[in-house]
Amino acid sequence: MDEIILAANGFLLRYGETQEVDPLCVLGARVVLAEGYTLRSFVQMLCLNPLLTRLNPFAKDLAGGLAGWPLSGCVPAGIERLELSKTVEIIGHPAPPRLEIYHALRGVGTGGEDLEIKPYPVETLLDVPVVLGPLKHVVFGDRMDEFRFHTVCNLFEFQEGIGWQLAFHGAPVECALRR
Amino acid sequence: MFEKILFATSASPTCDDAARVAFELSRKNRSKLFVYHVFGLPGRGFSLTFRDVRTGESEHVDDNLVSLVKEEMAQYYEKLGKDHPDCVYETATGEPHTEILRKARKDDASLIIMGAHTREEDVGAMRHRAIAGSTMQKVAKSARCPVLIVSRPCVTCWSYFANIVVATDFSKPSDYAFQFARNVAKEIGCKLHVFHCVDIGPEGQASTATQSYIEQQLAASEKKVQDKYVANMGDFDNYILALREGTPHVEVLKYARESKADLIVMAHHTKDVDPEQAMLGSTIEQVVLRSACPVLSVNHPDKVDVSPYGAPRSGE
Repeated sequence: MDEIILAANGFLLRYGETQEVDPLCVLGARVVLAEGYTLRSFVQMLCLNPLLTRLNPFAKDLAGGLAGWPLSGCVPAGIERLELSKTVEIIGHPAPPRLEIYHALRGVGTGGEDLEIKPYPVETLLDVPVVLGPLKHVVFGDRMDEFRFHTVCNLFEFQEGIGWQLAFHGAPVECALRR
Repeated sequence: MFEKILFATSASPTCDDAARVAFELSRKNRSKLFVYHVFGLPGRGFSLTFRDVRTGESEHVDDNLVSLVKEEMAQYYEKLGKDHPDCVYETATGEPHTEILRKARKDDASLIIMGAHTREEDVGAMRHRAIAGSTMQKVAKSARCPVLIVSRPCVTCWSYFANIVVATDFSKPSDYAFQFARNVAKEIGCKLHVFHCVDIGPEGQASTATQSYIEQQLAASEKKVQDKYVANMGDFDNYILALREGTPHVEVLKYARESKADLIVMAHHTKDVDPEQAMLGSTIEQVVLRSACPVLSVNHPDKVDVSPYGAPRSGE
């Protein structure tokens, strides 16, 4: 499987470190995250590849916001990393029985615990490291029967999974004052 | 403002955000609060067994079980309910949405408050499932009173709201939504944003909309807003009008975030859909999913008139 290296500065690098200029050609390539990859790198990737912003209706605003956000230090206390994981879940009840496969970006705390990241505006998470997590296999909706496997993720899944999560962020940090 | 509030809950952490709003709102408004939990599907006709909605297993229902569930609910909401000595905890077995609607009708509820889901979902999982909980969809579709859907922590309590956004598509249900939003904004003294989005489809997709067509549509929409809404503002002057073009749910969410909205008010279904056929309109469903503030669905002209707060309690 082809590999595409996502550099910390937002570049897409092919094997041999040549820069890829057409993201459509590498949408199916396996993602390898370069050292120092953060959420800022992801937004920079969107800025450098406007074609990718068409995969999500909120991505263009995300890319447009980067210029106005702080240049460094955007790490909220308690969040060690953001982990993009794939979940395969078998659901038996309520009917009909089905199998679902989806990606989720979650926050991981300093003690390894899962953290809810929706309340954080994107600009406060920019310098949190992003890593690829394992595949979770959930059997019949029971979180006790959960298996974890090594897996790979392609560029489409990576962009879509993170883009979907970031569309939930955007709560104002303070309330407005009434007249 | 709301004489009777029905808080339909699974009595689990997924409804905690909605619970805080329900208890706070009823306390501020001196409303009668019903905390209502439906916990299973009965067998055919009268039956002493019910099927657990989640596990599918058969359980026996008797007075002991019902009182046990009520006790559990009261314990779960003990902290929130300490300022509500007359709060009523009730349970029923049955199809959740039918029982909630039946209860709202029987008690003539002025407002139903619900969470968006009955179970904790990964954000990633939501896109593959019914985005909003099916119970919430069915209640919002058929309720005669407004339904407040709370899926995220609400940082501002109702009476301190500063901005209410009412998103309209000029349909009849949208007019009711506007009336409700205007009345609430006037009552609590906050700003009302009347918002309409000219639907030209997703950005970047091939669209027949030319610039002149969009401008024409925006001008027509502005006239409609003036005729339908501005003319009906009465003596209320704390409002602004906002028109955008794009994909409605994206623009509603973006506008709500920009304007620091504390509440989004929308009609449940659009003008193009037969009310009997309508599930939650895709726009409101997408808005409920991602909104940082509560979303209020209005369907009927009933209960859009909000009366002033009740008599002050002693010591206030």
